[in-house]
Amino acid sequence: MAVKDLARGFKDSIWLGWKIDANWTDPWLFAIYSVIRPIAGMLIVIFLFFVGSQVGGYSDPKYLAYVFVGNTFFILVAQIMLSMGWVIHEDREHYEVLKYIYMSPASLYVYLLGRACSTALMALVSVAISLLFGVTLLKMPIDLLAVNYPALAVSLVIGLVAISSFGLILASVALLTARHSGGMVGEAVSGIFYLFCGIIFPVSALPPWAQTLSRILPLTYWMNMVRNSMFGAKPTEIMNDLGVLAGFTAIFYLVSLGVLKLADYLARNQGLIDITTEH
Amino acid sequence: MERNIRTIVARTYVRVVGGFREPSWLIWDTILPMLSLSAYIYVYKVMNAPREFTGFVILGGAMIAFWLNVLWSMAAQLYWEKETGNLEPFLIAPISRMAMLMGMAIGGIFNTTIRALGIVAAGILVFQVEFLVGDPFAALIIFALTMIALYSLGMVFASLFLMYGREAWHTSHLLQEPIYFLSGFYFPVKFLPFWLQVAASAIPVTFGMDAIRRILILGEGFQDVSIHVIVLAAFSVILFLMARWALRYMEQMGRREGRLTLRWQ
Repeated sequence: MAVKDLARGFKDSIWLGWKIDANWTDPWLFAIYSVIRPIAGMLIVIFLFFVGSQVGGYSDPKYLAYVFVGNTFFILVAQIMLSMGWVIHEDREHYEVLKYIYMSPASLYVYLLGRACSTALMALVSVAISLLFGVTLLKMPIDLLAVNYPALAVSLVIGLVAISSFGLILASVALLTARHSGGMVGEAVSGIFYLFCGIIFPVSALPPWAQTLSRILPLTYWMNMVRNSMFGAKPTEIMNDLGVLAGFTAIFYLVSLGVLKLADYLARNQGLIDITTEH
Repeated sequence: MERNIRTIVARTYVRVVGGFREPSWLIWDTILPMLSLSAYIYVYKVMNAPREFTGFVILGGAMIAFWLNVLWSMAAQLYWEKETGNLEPFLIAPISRMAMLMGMAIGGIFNTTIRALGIVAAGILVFQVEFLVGDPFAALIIFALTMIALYSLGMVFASLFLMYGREAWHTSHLLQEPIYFLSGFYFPVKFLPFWLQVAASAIPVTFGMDAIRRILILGEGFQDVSIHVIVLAAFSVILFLMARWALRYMEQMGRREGRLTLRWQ
């Protein structure tokens, strides 16, 4: 397939993702909707900190910044996992268009990447608004002028490839599962990352077996890198995390391609492309 | 009357059997919430919060199961039925719509109680949460009143969802994290600023959560939560009446505008 056709398929699937997510209301209401949920999620962890500091006597502002940054950037993971865990079920069973996507000359892989990209773009807006809200209105202890923006940009690009690779694996698994048994997988994987990747508390607080698990999850290194970039770390301080993240991302990217190919083969073979369970 | 009771029993049966048809749901509904709950518990641990705060988080997780059931399996149910083509038979059948919704509510409470108990059991096993049940009778009264108020609210939402389609669907998403925050699922609402406490008092689950926490974790008795009982009883009556009105209004409007069976709106 020509690069031009791939690019068009990618662009159209981003557009489709946006239309599906946003065409139920006017843009302003959608903007409010997109912002309130992440801000409420952020307020939960910020209040956990304030309540914990009142009853536990621990009120290190560095930990508050740690929690705030971790929870805010986790929006990307949560939204992409949720979206990619559900996209196949939605297209196949709700809108009943998966068979047409298969019949069209567009590649399923490119289509799924486009949908992930669409979610990522909307999630990035939520992240930016949450950061601004937290820093300006809630006075979170972060100096936006001291942020290492080039390092943050690199970590976001590589991190989004890693998160999208996980998303592709989820979408591939969804090809083989019915809505009622596989629909929650995105939230499950997102919950695993939330607990084991040092999002709102240091990994060192986990039991030893869980720390081992966190060391093989790329998002642990991604979160370290994002956090260090936000706190203005020098390039030498993030090189280690960058190297591990890049290596893990390459591995998970290749694995996601293999899993999608296998799931696609099995789904075609077992006639699952247009299955509807109505369950 | 007899027909309505049979409707309630039939709809409860469908919900209970449906809830156990796919056993994996039990795992999803127990393990999945435990992941984020565990993260919150670790935040409290890092900050040296007293042990009862672990219990607060676990109890909050158990109550969230009911809130999610109200949102997605009560509020969204008529919308789902419309999307899957089952709403027409429901509306044609000579049954009370309220009886149908009550059957869904009773089945939902039964199924969700099992899942909530699973979360509590996981909390006890993994984090050694301690419960100091001060007054079991008061706990039962509060739980029953909270359920009546919550599921009546779910019935009100069910009509709204059907009328407003996907906008209400997104509203359901919108009623998750903000309600977790305002209703104090993870910490007592007394830690919120005053104006947020006022806003939280408009939500029935805020009172139910606070009272259940006081009785089960802090070992308080009936007299300590008597105001909660009065407020929850008032919520129950008002919301039940609102549910009846909303259901009637929804049906009339749907018939007038021909939207009752329109999919993907």
